[in-house]
Amino acid sequence: MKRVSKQLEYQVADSIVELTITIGNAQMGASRVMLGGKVLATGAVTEEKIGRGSDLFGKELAVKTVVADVNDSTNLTNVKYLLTGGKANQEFNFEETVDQHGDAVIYRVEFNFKR
Amino acid sequence: MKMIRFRHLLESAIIVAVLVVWMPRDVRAGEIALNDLRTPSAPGFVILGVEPTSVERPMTPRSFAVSLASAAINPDALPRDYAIEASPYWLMPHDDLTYEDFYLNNALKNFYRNLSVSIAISKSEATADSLAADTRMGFGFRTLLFRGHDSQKIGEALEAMLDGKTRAEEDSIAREIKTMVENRKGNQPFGFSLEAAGAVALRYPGNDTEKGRAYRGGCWVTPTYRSASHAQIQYLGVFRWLMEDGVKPRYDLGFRFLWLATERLSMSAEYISRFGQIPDTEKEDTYRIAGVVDYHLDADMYLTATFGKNFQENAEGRDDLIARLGISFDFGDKPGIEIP
Repeated sequence: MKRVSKQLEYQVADSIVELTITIGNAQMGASRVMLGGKVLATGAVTEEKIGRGSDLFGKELAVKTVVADVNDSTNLTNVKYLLTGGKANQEFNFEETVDQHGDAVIYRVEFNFKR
Repeated sequence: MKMIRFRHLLESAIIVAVLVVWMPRDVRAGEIALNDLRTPSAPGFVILGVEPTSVERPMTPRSFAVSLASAAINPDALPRDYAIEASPYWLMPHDDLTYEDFYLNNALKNFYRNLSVSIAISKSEATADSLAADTRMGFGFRTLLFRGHDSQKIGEALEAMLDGKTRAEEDSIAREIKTMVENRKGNQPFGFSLEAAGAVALRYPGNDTEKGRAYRGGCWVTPTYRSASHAQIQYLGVFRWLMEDGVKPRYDLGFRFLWLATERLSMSAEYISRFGQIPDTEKEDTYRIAGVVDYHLDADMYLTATFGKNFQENAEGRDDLIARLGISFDFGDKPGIEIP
């Protein structure tokens, strides 16, 4: 099984930071979002409120997304993480092609919030 | 040692004999397998009545173009039977197409998202008994207008994977998911699904493009329904239309009821009405009614008993009694239905 791990930074402001996760190519997946060891969301994540920028500074948001290749027509999997409410909206895209139909991929992404 | 070898040879000979005896006549003759209720997976090949030895399935626009270009530039270099099958929509990635959106059951979107096209070329050489060389081409499409929905098992397993603490735990769940995805391929989805397919075959006698003409065409529409609460029961319908040179167009309208009695035993009943002239007779319209019992012997081996009445297919008249008991091997998608 393929695994993708990334550490990223996101610049916060004073407004509320939200996270949306899109799993594309008609593949099936689920995510778990954790902030400081506490689970914020599990399953499909859409405009999930993470917290106010001023409270997030210096904290780490850990996201684990698992994707299974259930689409007969392609072996491509991709995950798009969209963070809004910071200095600017930012999109982080990852993709991985599985070796065989039915294989799964785990994406682990950690966002460090910066000023 | 010799005894073991002899026994092995004897067993192989029996299996081959069983396969030849029970293999449907239309498969042996290389004709269109009309009695199968399923929509053909590659109608472009089926309409020609050929089973290509290799099928090119390009997954990117580049490989699709290369394959077509090599066929067009140097047709003489092609093998006798050339076949290509592709899903145009999936030649490009769709990063924003979620699983939920894909399963929305919007017929128009489903039409182009699930469309696959198949093209087959079959060439024959000139023979001593004056048959001229000719080339036949088949063009077909297949799509899924409504695709039902999956069991929730894979989604539940994915959520369990989120809890995985170790790599070994995650790998173990990934293997379970893979098995579920593989099983799902040959199984009917839950809810209502509707497949449609069409194909046309052209013949170029003497490899002369000016003499080219369509000599066979067909279309298939297959609705199915499987309830999530009674997953052991599946309803399957079929409408198909076939035209061929020298024969009046023929329509089939049929229905199959399938019940998975146990994990290994399934029973089904089917009725198909065929409207159109029976070849070499003045008579029109015939039907097939059959009961089928399948017992799953091994991973890809089935014991099948069929009893009923087949279509009247020629002037010799009497209704064809179906009474068959045979072993069949499945090297493709697994048939049957999965219990959620």
